[in-house]
Amino acid sequence: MNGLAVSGGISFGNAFLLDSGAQINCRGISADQIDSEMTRFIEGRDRAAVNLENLIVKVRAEMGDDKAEIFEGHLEILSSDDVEEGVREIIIERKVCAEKAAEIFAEENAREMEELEDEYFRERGQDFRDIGQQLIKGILNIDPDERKLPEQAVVMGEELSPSQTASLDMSRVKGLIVKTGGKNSHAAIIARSLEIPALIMPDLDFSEHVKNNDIVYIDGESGELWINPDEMTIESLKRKEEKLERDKAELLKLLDDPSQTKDGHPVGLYANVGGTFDIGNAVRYKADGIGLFRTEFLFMETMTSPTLARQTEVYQNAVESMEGKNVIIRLLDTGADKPLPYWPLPQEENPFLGIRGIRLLFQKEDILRTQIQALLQASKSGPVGMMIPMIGSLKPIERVRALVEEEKLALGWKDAENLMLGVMIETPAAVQLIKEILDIVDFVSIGTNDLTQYMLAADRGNPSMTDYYDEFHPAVLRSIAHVIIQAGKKGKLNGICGELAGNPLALPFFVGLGVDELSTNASSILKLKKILREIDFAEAKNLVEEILRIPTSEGIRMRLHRFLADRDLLK
Amino acid sequence: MVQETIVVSNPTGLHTRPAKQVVSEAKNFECDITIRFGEKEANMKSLLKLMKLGISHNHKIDIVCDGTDEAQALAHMKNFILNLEG
Repeated sequence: MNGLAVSGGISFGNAFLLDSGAQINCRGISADQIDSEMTRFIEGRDRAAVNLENLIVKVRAEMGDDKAEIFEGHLEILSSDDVEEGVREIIIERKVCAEKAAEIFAEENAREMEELEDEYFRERGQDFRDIGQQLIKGILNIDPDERKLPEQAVVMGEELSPSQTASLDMSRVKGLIVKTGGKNSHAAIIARSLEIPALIMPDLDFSEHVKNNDIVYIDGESGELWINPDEMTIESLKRKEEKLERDKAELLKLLDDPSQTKDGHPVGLYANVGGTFDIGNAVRYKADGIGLFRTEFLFMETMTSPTLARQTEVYQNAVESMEGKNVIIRLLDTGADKPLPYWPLPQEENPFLGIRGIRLLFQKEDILRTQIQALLQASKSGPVGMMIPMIGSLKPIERVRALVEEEKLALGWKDAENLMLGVMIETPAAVQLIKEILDIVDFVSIGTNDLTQYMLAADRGNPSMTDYYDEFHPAVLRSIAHVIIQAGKKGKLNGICGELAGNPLALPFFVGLGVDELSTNASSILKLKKILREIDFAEAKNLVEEILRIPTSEGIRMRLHRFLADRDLLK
Repeated sequence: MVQETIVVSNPTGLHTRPAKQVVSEAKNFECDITIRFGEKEANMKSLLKLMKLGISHNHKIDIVCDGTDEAQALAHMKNFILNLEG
């Protein structure tokens, strides 16, 4: 079977199908069954309580006290007299079986919570539904171990939500198969950061093709999937895997060589990270810095927005791990297309043109302030760049700067010499205003994915837009050139952090522009370094002159291809 | 019976995590502890009922204690809620 390969490598493991919830086959009961249903409820609830206790121990060890306390809250409610009385009433009055009564009780309480004014509480309705599911599984005696991953797991589901990611032990996940999404979907980004293969397979029917624990092989290079393959297939896959390993070992020899051109011009090779889970990769591949720390995942792992203490801990850990190198952390960049569980957003017709990034943070100034406070704290341990997403004019930058000043004042700080303020360049408006923006920031970083989609008016998530969404479009490359050249003139730190930054084909162009840093998945750093160290800076500068005159993406790709081929840099 | 009015000051109010801590504390006392919020009231030893009050940041609540250790309970719970974080 074939799918769209969105993260490379070859691996295998036992299939793990993501849970879609317990099924209730409701039945009414007669008056003389009330006592026995009540007994089923009590026994089921006690099983559910034991399961929850085990979950709490696991969550505390893997995800910390903050998250464990939420489940302790669930346990407290689940074992309370309130629930027992409530369910008893429903069983007696409505004559339904225990699991149905538990479901009704959870749903009614969830609805009541959802009527409250405060949106934190409205979202807590979901807690009651979770408790209901726990009870139902306890009553039906469904083994909670189905949530436990096999040692080597290939996780399969409709899609992988950020909250599911947070609840899975990702160290056991060796591959990902999802039905929906694209190259830049959450599952794809997570897979690339963990260096595990991932495929998107819209046509795969899980119930028909695969069972839990089937042996599954994934080839993230060719997009192929095998379920319970024969010996011969396994043999040939193993040979392919060995070759990939050999190539990787070859690249590892470059680990301690500086990131610079053949003639000694330095280009920082930075890493993109999504959280504590992939800082390790950045360190292992000796990244020259962190060019993009996406904080969304940190905000998605808990049922409430992360506390100042939790955020400080995570940012500080990143800064300390990088030992004095730049760590650029993007302010929470979310919107209607990637909502947070505790932050309900109105449906928007065009979420990408709506309230997202800094526009959204301004609506929740307390969350923005907490993040600023945490970044200030983290900057005590080393250089931190605070990057503002979704900038189209100067005013939001001034407003964030004013908030930073206020928070500094509140801490009694005169300076925060390790804190830089910068913006993500991802809108055509920011490109046009780049000179003025550069006058009021410390650094800029170009987000090529959004810049491409906004510049070309082509949705990057829409599969029928693939012909129109083209990162090598001359309008995109000319915008990038303008930004990098202006930043260079003003001596401001500049970088590129979208997908394009990790594309070897674009590398000679970026080098010729004189970019300060390119930020990619940590696992791509060595591949880029190998090519970078063979490029001549002067030749790359001449190449830029040429590229900027070519009017079509095809022409540009061809020219770049030839540049690499002439120097035998195409693998 | 003793009672006192306070304003909840932690940023997220008495949602799951802080409310859970409040309930655990309240259970250390013998007396009945009731929380009043507007028209509604709830037993402070019941997480479910407490959460359903929907107490958020800046909400004004009454703590009412009734029983043998009511004085200590009131002083302790007041302090505990005022010092909640997160």
